[in-house]
Amino acid sequence: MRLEQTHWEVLKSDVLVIGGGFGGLWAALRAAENGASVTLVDKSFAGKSGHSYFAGGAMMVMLPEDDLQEYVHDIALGNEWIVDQNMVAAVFNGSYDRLKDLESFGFPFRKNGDEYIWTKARGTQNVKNLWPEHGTAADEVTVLRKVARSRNVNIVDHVYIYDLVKSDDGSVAGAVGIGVRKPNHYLFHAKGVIMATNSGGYRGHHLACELQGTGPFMAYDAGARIKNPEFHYINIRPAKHEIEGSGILPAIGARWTNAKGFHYMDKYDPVLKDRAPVLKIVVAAAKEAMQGHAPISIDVESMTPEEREKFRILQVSHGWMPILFEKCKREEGYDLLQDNIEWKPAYEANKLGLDADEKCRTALEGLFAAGMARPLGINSFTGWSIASCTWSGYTAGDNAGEYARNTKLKKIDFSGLIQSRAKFFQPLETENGVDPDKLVHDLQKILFPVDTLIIMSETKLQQALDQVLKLKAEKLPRLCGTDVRALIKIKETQTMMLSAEMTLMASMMRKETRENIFYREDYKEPDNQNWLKWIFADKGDDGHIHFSTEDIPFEKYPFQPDF
Amino acid sequence: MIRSIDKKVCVGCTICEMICPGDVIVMDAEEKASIKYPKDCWTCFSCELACPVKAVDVHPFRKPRPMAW
Repeated sequence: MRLEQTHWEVLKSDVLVIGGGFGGLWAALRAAENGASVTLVDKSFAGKSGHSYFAGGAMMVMLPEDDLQEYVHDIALGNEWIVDQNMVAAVFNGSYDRLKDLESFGFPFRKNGDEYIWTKARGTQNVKNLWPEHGTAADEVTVLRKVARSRNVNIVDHVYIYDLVKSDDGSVAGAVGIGVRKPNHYLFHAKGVIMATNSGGYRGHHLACELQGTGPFMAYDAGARIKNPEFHYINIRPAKHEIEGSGILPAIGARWTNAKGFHYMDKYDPVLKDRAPVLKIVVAAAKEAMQGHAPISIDVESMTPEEREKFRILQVSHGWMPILFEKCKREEGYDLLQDNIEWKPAYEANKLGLDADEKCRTALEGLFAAGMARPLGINSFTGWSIASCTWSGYTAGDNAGEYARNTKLKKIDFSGLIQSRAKFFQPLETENGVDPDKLVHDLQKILFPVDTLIIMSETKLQQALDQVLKLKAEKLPRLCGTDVRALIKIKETQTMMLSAEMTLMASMMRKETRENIFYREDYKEPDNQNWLKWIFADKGDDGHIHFSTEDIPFEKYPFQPDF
Repeated sequence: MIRSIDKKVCVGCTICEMICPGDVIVMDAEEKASIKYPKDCWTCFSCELACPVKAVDVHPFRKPRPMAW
């Protein structure tokens, strides 16, 4: 049986949402609330997967008594000015209403009587984080899924979208996909399409293994523009397993330590020390390692029992951390809160996104972007991700719904669709080729070393780019597989290769350092004369990546950096 | 990484198959959960946490990958 000849399903709707995390689910439930027929498609089970399911649940909220200007200023500073301040204001302006929505959905936030219990968001002076009363983000997305279903959103799980579908006039008219478990073909035909697939990564983070960037990059292929290709979220984690709370441990008394037992953050940030922002911690650990002072660990041996108990209370997971702690003790003989273990930087996700306006519209007619698939700033403050994904999902759903009300279903460009399908299935024909997992491993060996994307420099970035281009020429065209699972991995691998090429080139363009978000060893200072800009990437007529920059429009924003 | 699913204990509820974000677990011919793609495991513990009869066992270490140093 040839895969091309299996069964086709055609689903029509006003709005198609691709991706079922915070961004996608909010988009779907809002569009449906206003009367749009909505299909949401997810490559896994929407609400049990993705970055969203494994998040802690902290959400930044501006309460009625809070000051918008203070909130916007905090976020602008934390992003070192490389952020759309009007978007930030929109996130906070909507945040209290979204809190009320969640409460009406049956998802309350922690209160002490009538007052919300909040913590100050890490890296800010004024911004409040609210926390779920029961459970974590896992429970929140479960609730959002139920609400979406109650509003008749048609949720299609376990279908992998491999391309957008266009109409004859070049606008986006839907998407094409393949069943992950059964090889059925799916054609989604919609008036408005919302890309909510997260931004991408290189499988560096175990709880976000699906972040390959296929959403933004299939839109890039269709003519959309990518913004912020040079930025990443790189965290620091135990070398052999995962943990969330690299920020919590230092906040309650643990200290970063090198092999000599020296608490080195005293040197790298005399003011904030171990509570410095994530990238500063990562760069400091990297520098210590490069000087031969690895292994790096968090010194927990000198914590008090009260401090350890605090961690147990503060650590937020849907249950996986207590099990992990217990198994490390039982299987490997160490207690994460009593015994010092080795930590290393771990690449988590890129911070690029599909360029979108304040209504979450991209420049491609019919295409909107929500969640991490659209740019949401670069600094991954605790609580910002859920707040901004919530805002963008709600806003995209609102606007895509309205767009759909005022437009008709467009005629599909079937020749384009057939080309997309042929391209997706082509690796079945390649013989004795390259295994996609092996090529991803090769790519990780280029990107993950400390002196590629953490301690950056022109020489190393160029070296890495040369190596990526070599893989692109020699191995990429030879990717092969024999089943749908392999074809999906191949599509993801192709995307990761393009993403790597794009980010290395863009990183070389930005010749400066902004400590919270971008570190270059060869340009150690911020360059406000030349680099208060955004970098964009779009596909040129020649098929190559075409870069451009735009000045950040400070004249439209409440705050300007001092020169 | 996911280590084992005890078929003697598994009751075939399919919750682990549904919840696995990486589609690693598949119901086999006897309608018991089986690990089809162990190398793709995320070490997220969703399966072990969700299993109502404690049939699933996950080792705490994730798959080795290239590191920063």
